[in-house]
Amino acid sequence: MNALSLGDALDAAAYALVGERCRHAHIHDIRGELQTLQSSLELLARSARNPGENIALAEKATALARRALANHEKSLVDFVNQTTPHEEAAVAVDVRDMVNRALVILRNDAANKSITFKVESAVDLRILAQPRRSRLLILGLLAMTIDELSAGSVVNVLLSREDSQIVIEIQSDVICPAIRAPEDLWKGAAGEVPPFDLLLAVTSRWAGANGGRVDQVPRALRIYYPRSLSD
Amino acid sequence: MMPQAPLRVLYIEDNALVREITCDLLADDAREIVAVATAEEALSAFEASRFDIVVTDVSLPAMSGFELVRRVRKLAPSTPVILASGYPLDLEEIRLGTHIRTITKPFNAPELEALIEDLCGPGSRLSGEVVEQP
Repeated sequence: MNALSLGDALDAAAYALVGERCRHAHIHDIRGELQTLQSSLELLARSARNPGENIALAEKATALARRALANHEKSLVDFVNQTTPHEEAAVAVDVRDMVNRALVILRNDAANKSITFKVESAVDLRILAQPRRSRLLILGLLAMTIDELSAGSVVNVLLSREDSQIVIEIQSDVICPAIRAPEDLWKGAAGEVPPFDLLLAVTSRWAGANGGRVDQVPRALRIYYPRSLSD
Repeated sequence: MMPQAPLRVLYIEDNALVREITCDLLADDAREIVAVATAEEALSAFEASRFDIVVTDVSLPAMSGFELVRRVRKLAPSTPVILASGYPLDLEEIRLGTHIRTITKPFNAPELEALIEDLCGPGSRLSGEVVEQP
């Protein structure tokens, strides 16, 4: 283990914040994968009770159980990687896929407040970014947006290209706090930092480290990430 | 002795593997399972045909299981419903009416069958036997 810088602590706080916020959604996903294991084992047990009568069922149950196990392993690895800070190399990340995955995780939260997300995207937008970190940012920002909005609101997520940058624009009625530098976050905060402030500071830090930036405009937050050269 | 028509179950689950295995576990001579991946597909199926019970995952793409139940109840208010979810659901909080049960993943087939029997009556859990009435 290495000594921690302020940036490391901020990164860890962002993981903790988004992980806690999305805990129910993660549990739901893991239990969903466990359902495939549970059911395939039941199918195996059923075929074992009548081995001579239904070889095809036994073979199918075995194949399904193997697929369920492989899916569950992938799900657990994804979960651990998504919820713990770790070094990542920047690679080409499909932005539309990333946004859609985040919205799948948050669909219950959005449905509970009847919040509608509308995603408009140009074709094949790839950013150069650390995949887990960028996914964490989008997940966190969309979750915070849901929390801040009143029931029945609409959120537009526009994904576009602007020169050498890809723009992820989140349009809503949310009033975002000003983006502050990490070292300013706890100044005058009586020992506490609002979650949105923390997440915006981390968004700015992580986007900036990759050559991107974050802009705040009326009714929208724009996150710029450099376009992947393999685009 | 006339064989009773099989119980028609509309099952909605977006995870293809869960959907396939659950169909294998539930389908028998006493139950006909129509399985779809989305709430939109479920509504189309429900409008086109009669179902005795709806078993749906809560977390679905686009339209949630809750919204699906609200729309199904507009078409057929007394349709029994079972909501499946990865976390426990509070029926009082959900406020979707009567004839509704919840089940938490991962569940086993007998648990689900017991809920179907609870909502649809004895004879809906027959493990491959054909129901016959006098």
